[in-house]
Amino acid sequence: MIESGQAAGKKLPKDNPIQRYKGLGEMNADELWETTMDPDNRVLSQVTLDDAANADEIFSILMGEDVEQRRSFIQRNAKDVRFLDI
Amino acid sequence: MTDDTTITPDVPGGRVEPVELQTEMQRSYIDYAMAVIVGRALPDVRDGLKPVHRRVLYAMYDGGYRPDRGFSKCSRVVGDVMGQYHPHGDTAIYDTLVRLSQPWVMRAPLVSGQGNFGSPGNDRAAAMRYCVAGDTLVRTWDGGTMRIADVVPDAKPGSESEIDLKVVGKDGAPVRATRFFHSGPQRTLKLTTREGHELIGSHNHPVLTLTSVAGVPTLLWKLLDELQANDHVVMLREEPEEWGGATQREQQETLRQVPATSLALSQDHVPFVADFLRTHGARSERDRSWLMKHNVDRFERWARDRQEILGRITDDAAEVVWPLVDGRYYYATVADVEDAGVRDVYSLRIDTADHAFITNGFVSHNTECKMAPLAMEMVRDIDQDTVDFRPNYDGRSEEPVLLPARFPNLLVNGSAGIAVGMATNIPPHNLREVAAGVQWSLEHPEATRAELLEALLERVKGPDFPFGALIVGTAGIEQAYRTGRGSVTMRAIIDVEEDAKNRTCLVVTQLPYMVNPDNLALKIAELADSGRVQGIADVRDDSSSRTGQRLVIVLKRDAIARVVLNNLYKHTELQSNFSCNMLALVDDVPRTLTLDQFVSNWVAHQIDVIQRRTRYRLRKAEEEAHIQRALVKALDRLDDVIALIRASQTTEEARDGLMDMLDIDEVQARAILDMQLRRLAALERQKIIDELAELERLIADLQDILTDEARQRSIVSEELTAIVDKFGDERRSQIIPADGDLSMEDLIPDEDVVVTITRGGYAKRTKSDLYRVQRRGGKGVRGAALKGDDVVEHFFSTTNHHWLLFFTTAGRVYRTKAYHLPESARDAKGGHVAGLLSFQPDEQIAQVLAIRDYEQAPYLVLATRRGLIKKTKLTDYNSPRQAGVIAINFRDEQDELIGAELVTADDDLLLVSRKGQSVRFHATDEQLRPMGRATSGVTGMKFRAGDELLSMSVVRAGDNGQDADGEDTEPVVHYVFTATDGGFAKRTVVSEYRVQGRGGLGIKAMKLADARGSLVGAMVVVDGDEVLAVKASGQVTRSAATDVPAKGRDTMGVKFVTVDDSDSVVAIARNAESDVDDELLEGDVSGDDEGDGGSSEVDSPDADPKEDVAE
Repeated sequence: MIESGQAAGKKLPKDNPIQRYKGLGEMNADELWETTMDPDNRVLSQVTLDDAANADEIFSILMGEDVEQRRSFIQRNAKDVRFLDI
Repeated sequence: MTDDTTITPDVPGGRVEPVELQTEMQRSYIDYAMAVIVGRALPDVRDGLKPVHRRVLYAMYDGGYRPDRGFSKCSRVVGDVMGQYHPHGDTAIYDTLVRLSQPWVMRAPLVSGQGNFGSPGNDRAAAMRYCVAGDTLVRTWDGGTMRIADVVPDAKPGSESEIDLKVVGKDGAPVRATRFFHSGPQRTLKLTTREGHELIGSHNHPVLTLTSVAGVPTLLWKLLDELQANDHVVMLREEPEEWGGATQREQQETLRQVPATSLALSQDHVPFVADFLRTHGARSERDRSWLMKHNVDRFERWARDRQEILGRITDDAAEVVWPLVDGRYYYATVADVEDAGVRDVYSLRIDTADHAFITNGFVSHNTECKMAPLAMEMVRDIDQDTVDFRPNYDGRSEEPVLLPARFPNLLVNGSAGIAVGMATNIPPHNLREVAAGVQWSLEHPEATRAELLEALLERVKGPDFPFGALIVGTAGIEQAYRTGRGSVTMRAIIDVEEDAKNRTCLVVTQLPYMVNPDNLALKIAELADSGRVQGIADVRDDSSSRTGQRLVIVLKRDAIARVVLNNLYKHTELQSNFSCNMLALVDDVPRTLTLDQFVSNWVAHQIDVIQRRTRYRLRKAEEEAHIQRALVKALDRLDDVIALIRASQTTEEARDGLMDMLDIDEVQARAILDMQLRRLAALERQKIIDELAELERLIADLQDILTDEARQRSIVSEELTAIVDKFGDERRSQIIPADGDLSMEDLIPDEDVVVTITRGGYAKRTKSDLYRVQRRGGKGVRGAALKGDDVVEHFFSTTNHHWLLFFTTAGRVYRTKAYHLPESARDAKGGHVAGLLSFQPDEQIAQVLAIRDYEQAPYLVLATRRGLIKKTKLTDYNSPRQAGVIAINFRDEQDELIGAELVTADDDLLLVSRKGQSVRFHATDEQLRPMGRATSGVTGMKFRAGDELLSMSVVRAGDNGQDADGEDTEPVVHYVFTATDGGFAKRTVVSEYRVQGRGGLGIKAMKLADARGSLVGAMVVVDGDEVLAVKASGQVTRSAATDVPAKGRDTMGVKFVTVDDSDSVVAIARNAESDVDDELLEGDVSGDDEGDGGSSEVDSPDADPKEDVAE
């Protein structure tokens, strides 16, 4: 992202060029408004439950006792990772 | 959440995206799992590091915390790592840093630590930042004191400054303070002692204390918040001009009252010392009662009676106690530790190993670190474009994606991590072994995976843990290497020793990897208390930095060492498993890898590093050559160039002119313009030409490397070799075959060994060839470094696969294969048989026989002190029972086994009594009926009052020693050699001892007179044998058997050993020099024994059993 921006001739702002938050608590109040609370910009996810049986199954895979199942789930879906935070 | 669903529709502009629970769970979970897997918990297969490790090492390298510089405060390193690369908590980073430095975790530590970095037990590393309040007085070397805040008066909170100040260190000697830290406001605690001293510092500020660790007074660092009332804190005994705080005057008064070297009795004493000395320190019972009566913990007592006390305590105890009682320290008692509010706190950096200095009289210290020398190999060449960099988390700097890792760090140091749905556990390895495997791989690039794996299995013997211990069995190792998963059994190294009270002790000197000795000691104590493991009297931890790991388990007198040991292996971590789970990231994907994949991935990485480094160097060389070429061109037309430059109005004009004239580019033209005038000198010009030639050669060479993969491999090989030469070390974990491993005997060569067993029960085997060289070369060199008055009692030559039969004084026989004895150097003590055989309490070795198998001879004959004799089929003793089998039933509890010999029905037995009587009889079935194992035997010889059986010898058929032995021309004449405790001896031809019936009083074997003492030994010798005579004083005399004249049976003999009035000969033994030279001598039991105190059992070596038995 930085590279593409710089290629397009844009520059990072001088103070706080990139700010990184590990949690909402690290933000100032106005930053929290801007990034999270402002109704014009925010996106709310409304979690719905279509199939309780399916959901239960996925919960037991992800948080249950069977490590092998979890491991194979991760291996199957590893490529679907959206955002890798290292 | 319900709020959201009700509120959002009311707010204009808000976007609401419905998401199905299941989908959201899957997505979020994958994000989380992958972040942990790739970004936190698993190492990269190439450099073996997790991101936090990599960031710590790179930050240390980048920040200059390098091995060739001084130590830096850990908090500073942690700050660098956190601020630049790792946006996580400082404790996580500090813990990583500490772990990288701990030599019991890392096989090859990557960080050098200074200060308290914890212990394998429950002691955590000291906190990275702790400090004292501003009013605290630092004792300076010039005799003054100063407020710590005044060391650098204008320091800002959170700053540090270079200083150079001599202050007083832990031992009262001067140490240099090189840095001052103002750590800003921190929560503080105030320590007050009963005597009125006080110190205010951060809650994690450590002070030196005197603590009783399992009864041993030990100097330990404790944090202020760990201190409790009645703890003893160490203060340096000195008289400062002033002490800090409001109670300054009182403290001064108190310290005045502390006697520096007072001879008056006072309350000034060292805590714990008296108890320790009385419990553990006394040399004898008499000394103990003396210690009980005297105040051996008073300084004045030590000042006055030091020699007297030292004479009464053991050297070990003296070593513990002396540093505490020499008067340097004063031990104050903690009255209270209370909250002192938030204050500005300060600290100093001290350039010594323990980093200690004196504050308000208390001893304080800090932790610091720098890269370990080996860590430089992890980052070597990183500035030559060898690895990719990526922007750090805030885009302000860059961090390496991985490190060059010029040695196979992942295998050498191992890794452990728990991710999500998967975990890794890779054991550490020996650098030399792994490197040997890598070298093979480099030499055989065409090898298939299977071939590489086989080659590696041959070279990498198994894991190698930093603190040694044993690895039991190879099956788990092989499975782990072949499949990536396997379990390696580790076992502690445990010596069997006897303590001062002759109690058997199990001494744990090396623990399995990552086993916590403190918890282990607790666990053992708990098992002993609850009765789940019987036979343990006491557990104490004698570990210290001086002695290393030393957990002592004292056994009850009736306990069987081996049984206790097996129970402890079963119930505690003395034996534990390392579950290998060889998972690492390959291209950011977690993979379970086999050994060859670890090596080939690392090799591929190294080839990549070498290629990139070569390309980088090539690029640099070409850039330079490019300029040099221009300079050469310019020098060729020097006059034109100078004219052109002089004619130019501006630099630009000159540059353009040069570009035209010399057909060069702008960079080159600028280089010419930048050239210094002095380079126009003739010599300089030649130098430029030479440099260019050198560069061209270098470029050709680098290009060659890039096109030739074999050369790249050889570079990797050479550079790795250099690292291994510098940092490689010996394997620490010994790999032993698993119990009951059927293939064990196949793995052990049937080599000739010399077995030595001492009276105290220490046994070992030594390769014969080592022994022979020693014996030929060094006459009289002490064989084994034995404990106290222990002496070698059994000494014979056999082979690894022989059975050793141990006959005990209790009439039982235990067996083991010779290879089970610890293999030791000639001068080592060996291991105690109690760790090997399940002896009953108070059972001692009477006789040892080595036999190839139970078919070697038809019969075994046993003889007892009371003259009983028993012939039993040898095969009857073939029993695998660990607890031993009954060899003989004594009729009389006082009786003891004195001899065990292999015989055939054709041999004769010769019994000799202490008072010089002898009986020789045939060992035929008529004379001596074969009996079962658990019987008591028949009378072999009768005695007059006060007499008893001394020895049993075998006279082999044909060994009669008669000159007229007709056709059976046996050239060797056999003699019976007899000796008395007064040092007289004679030998008599065997044939003079005529064959009689069994069970009589016998005939005279030697004429004895009071002045010459009683018999101490009788044995069969031949010409060329040597006789060893052991005196009560411990001296051993060696002489040839032929030095003693052959005489008649009923004669007095001659003096052959000179003994003083107070001394006596206690035993004789045949030194089977000639036998050891003979190949494969078997069953030569040469023993000697103590004759005083009425407890003597003398066995006599038989002549040459092998000749009869094997042929």
